[in-house]
Amino acid sequence: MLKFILRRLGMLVVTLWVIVTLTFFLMHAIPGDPFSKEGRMPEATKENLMKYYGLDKSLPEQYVSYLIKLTKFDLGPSYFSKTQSVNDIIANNFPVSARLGIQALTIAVMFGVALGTVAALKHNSALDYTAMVIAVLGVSVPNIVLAPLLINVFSVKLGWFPIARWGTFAHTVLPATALGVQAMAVIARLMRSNMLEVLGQDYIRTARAKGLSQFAVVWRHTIRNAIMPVITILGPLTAALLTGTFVVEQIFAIPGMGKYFVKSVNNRDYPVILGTTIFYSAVLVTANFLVDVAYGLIDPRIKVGVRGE
Amino acid sequence: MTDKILEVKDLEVSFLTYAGEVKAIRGVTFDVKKGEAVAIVGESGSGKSVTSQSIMQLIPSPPGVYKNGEIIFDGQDLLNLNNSEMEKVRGSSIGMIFQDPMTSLNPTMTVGKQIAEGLIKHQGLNKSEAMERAVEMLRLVGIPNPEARVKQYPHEFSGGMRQRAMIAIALSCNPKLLIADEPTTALDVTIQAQIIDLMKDLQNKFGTSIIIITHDLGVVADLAQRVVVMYAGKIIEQGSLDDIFYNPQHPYTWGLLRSVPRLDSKGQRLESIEGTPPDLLDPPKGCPFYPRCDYAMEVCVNHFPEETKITDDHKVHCWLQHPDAPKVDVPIKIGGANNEAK
Repeated sequence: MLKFILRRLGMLVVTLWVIVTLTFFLMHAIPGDPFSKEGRMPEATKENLMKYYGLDKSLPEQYVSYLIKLTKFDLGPSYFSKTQSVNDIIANNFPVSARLGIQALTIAVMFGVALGTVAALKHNSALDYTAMVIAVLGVSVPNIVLAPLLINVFSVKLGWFPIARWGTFAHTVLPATALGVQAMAVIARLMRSNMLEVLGQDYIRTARAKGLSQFAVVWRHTIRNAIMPVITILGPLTAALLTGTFVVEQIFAIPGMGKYFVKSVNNRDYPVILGTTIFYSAVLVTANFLVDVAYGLIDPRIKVGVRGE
Repeated sequence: MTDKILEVKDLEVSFLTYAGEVKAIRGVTFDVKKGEAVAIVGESGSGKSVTSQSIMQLIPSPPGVYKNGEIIFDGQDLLNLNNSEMEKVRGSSIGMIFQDPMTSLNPTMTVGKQIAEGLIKHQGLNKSEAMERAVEMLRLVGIPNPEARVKQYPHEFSGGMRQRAMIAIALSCNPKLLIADEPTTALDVTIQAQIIDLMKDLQNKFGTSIIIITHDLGVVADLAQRVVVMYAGKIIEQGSLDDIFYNPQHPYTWGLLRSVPRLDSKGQRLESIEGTPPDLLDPPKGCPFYPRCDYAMEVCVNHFPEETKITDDHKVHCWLQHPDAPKVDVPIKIGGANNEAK
């Protein structure tokens, strides 16, 4: 197990290095530079700035010096937020995005699994159709539509929750819902189809033949076998939700990380582009690692370990 | 007091599909005496498995519906029980094993837990008591080193061992009746014999009644005392093992016996019954076997023959039994290969 973890850590480093390299050269391939948006700027000033940030050096030189800084976990300064380094941006904004993401994920998993399970158990009934209509709506309505809708109904009309901004738990309810619904719908559909498949398996008939109650059959024998694919998509889903999303955070004026993914590219804010990308990748790879460990815990046929061990 | 553990009377089961009503079982009547092993034989689709699963009420509903009949087990009609009453019968008074041991065990649960589940539910044992019983059960069905095996998962068991584990599950609560639905079909021939021997052993030890569903007449001869022959959802002949093997009356039974491959038939083609069973969406009005029957008469087309009793125990549905029917020669050496050995 320890060997497995070490090997995965090694792979994490290699993965991140590949991502850093690709991102680094890709972003420099975008025309323009960090200061081309500032309007007319005296040549001398610009040259000074470029020199200050080391942008006057050749690309390979910049690449090597970035990698060196990276090994010290220094993601560099932000060219635009003059007071914050990239490390500060992540430290200040990630907790907000993460909290929002965890709540969204909780909503998505709880309701997704429940909805999918109920739909499968009441296959082809009104309940099934209702659940699947909800799921299809959830998948097809983008959160750019859903979020204003939620605000209009629950904040403006009913006044239950604050319209926007960040602070108390009440502030988190609507954005977490807006963020979680799509994932919930995906999970619900996946759960339903897997439940239907497992319910048709021979071992479910065996469980019934033992005289177990419907609840025991579903809880002990069906859900555990049906939930594997849901666990699989949980890796990328966690990474996507935890690191923040541009749209929802903008609509609810939440000081999360989402906006930096988009704005940094527009601004050619190279260190922020690289920093957020690396961070996102690290979260994704870690989440996938946890998923792999979870496989081994849930399905005994899958042994976590190194080949030949 | 009756000596019958199970009486099935006029059972009719249908499946409501988009194409229409599939009449899988059309009036099946038979019984199982205490301590007796009854074999139900017939081709695929003849209704054997549906009959056995109907007794346990494991027919998925929808689409399955019980149209008519009674299933009297130990004095009560199972079809009148509600869900929770039926749960108390399943696994407790009636145990069941299935055809494919590779898929009949839950892959994510240890074998021990799967045996213990029924014990906890039906006998009120706590977890550790139930696990001890699970170890005993595994030992009973001949699994070596049961203390370690009980903690293993099904994928760590071979096919034969899984079927033994299935038998351990089915017998864990000491049921009065064991239903075995093609328990040997998915196994190697050598393992088949072991499983049948095990079932015979346990039947002797506990006096469990057995219904064995099979299309393997070798298994029938080995295990059963009585045989029920089904065709197209109906019982067309039933009787003692000797009746069926040495004095078969129905042309379909003749066909079945003739289809058994024999060692002394070297160089000859395997015998088979020409044609296929009828479509149960629209079953024939008369005898379902007449299109494939060498002795079919006009009366067979539209009228299903009444039961004829050869003896009290040996019953057959065939127009050849009618006094006006032509006498035919039985086209097989009576008793097949076994007879010559006698």
